[in-house]
Amino acid sequence: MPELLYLDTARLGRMSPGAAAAHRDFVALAGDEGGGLYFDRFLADGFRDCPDAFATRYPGLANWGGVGGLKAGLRELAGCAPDTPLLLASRSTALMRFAARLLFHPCRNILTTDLDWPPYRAVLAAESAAAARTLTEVPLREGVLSGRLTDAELVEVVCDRFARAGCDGLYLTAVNNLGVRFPVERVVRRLEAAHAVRVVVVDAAQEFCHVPLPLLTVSCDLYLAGAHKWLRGYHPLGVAFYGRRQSCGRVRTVLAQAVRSGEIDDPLLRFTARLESGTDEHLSETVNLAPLFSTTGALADANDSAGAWSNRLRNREAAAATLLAVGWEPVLPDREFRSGILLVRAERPTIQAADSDSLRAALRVAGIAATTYPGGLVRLSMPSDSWRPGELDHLGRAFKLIA
Amino acid sequence: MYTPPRPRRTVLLSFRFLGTALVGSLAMALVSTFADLPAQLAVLGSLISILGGLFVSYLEQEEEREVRRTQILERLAVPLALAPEDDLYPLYLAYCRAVSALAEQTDPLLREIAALKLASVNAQIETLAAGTVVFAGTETWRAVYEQLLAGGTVREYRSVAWVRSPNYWQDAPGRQSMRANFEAVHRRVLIERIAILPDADWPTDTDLPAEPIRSWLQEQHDHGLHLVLVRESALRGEPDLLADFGIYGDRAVGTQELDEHSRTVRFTLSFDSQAVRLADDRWRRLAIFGIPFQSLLATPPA
Repeated sequence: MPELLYLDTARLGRMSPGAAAAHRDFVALAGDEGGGLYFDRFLADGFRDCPDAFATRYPGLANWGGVGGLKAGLRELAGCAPDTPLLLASRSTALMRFAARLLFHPCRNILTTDLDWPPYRAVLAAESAAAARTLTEVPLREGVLSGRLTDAELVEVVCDRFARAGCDGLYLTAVNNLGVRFPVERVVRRLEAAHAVRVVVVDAAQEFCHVPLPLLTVSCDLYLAGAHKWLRGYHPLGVAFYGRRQSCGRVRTVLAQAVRSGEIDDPLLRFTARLESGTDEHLSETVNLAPLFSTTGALADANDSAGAWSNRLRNREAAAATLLAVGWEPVLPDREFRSGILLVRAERPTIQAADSDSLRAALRVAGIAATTYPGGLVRLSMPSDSWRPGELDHLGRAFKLIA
Repeated sequence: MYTPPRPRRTVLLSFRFLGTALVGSLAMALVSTFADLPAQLAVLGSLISILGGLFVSYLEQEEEREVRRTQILERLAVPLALAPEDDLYPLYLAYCRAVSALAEQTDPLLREIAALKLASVNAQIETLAAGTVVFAGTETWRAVYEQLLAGGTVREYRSVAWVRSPNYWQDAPGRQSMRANFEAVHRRVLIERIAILPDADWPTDTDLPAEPIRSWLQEQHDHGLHLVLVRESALRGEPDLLADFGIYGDRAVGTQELDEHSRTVRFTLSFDSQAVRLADDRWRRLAIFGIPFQSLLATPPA
């Protein structure tokens, strides 16, 4: 079997070396110490108050400096101010539910697009129904993917619809699962200049650690991300940044209320908040801490990947050209919408008709890990380093085999 | 237990019919036996005339009875309409009983006072019947206010707070009502509030209102209420917009009148749809002068 070329971040990125080392040593530490005193000390502040031998015995955990340290690392990676508040949760959906609550507290009509991740869209729709409010969806997907809609036209269409439908809130997906990059900042700035936009939530699960981040807490009230996709922490960890001047207090108050009432019952969210505040909660639920350590390990790798964005774009162009030559047509939206995700469609009708699981399996056998969709559509996540010698040939050969 | 009515006995077997028929037949038999033909005819004619007279009199009495019956039914019409109203009918009966008992009092002074008081009660009932509740000089209206927000039927609450002193809604009942607002937002009621602020509390050269109003607004904003601020001086040309009122969905409108210490002088709650429409119109006019509180928060401090 050929070596695996891992080009899949749709659900999970491949675990980064730093994350893998942290995970291994966390397992070793758990095997040695269990939940003893030293583990508690390590959890709170890292190796500072532990025996000296720990640092050499568990080197993969050397970067762990408590939950505060992890949050500081995530802030730095996102380019946020050191005092930017952020939330950690074991389930991204818990944060999405919170986002929906936040949106529908003061908003009457939320504008969304058909570029959203369907399960998150369902959470939004459920909250909209429960609160008897309106969701206004703008259809953009077909226009964007076919290349008919330009960046400027999209901004125009979205802003026009916002005004005509009398919307007052926004839920936008920064980069969707098909790799379409949405001009969030431009849309928000333009709408806020002309209308009362009460809350803006951005789903950035596919943007975080993939696309260079704008000043995220300047243009939105809640920025939803995750450490298990492009950051490659592997263990699911939902991350949400907030701190916009006009909504910081609101996010904090609504969250406290939702946690108190049990509407948000994510154990990691409760646990990290408790660790940071130093409050004791004896009857709290036992929490899986593995995502915290693997994310810390992944952060060390991510910090080294300067210039990753331009590499990804170059890799994308090269991969598109390679695959076009072997019977796979790249789906190319307008240049401004493109990201480090390449979407290709099989030219042969038999491949288009094949079910997506079979296509995925065939690609895996050929040495490619990718996400597949019905209609012979394949999603490839571009690596942050330039293609290594032989990788593009490997990609071309694998796709030629299936084409 | 239901007892079926006994079957009615035929009138032919009744004592009155048999007795009268027997006496009449016996009298006629005697007349036929002992009198001559003209006398017999005269007696028969008399009997038939008496019978006719009785029948005509019966019809007349029946007509009178019908008129009386109709009059009684008309008087009973209100209780009949009220009978299915489980909450109102016992009150109506109690009122009737009390007024009947009052009628037995003979002291003229007592009756004079009672008449005055009852006139006042009647006026209040008429106001209620028109869909309006008035709470004067009391904070008890807040119980109804909180009930409206907690009831589950009101999904949207729009309020206008005319803040005339820094103590506005800062006392214990006011704080309690604010908590009711926060709980309602948490239960997914959309609350929008326009706060009309005097220039003294929101000087034109400052972005944000002064304390303690600012903290009062910030707390509401943080709990998810949407706030819009209006300077009182901006409404100089439209003084009718200066008011404290709340629109509870499309169900009711509450108007609060306060004294200079922000204590309630009167709270009027109207369930009249026309009043709701007028308040909605007033709200829209006011909103034109407003600035969203969150846009003021977004401005970096100077």
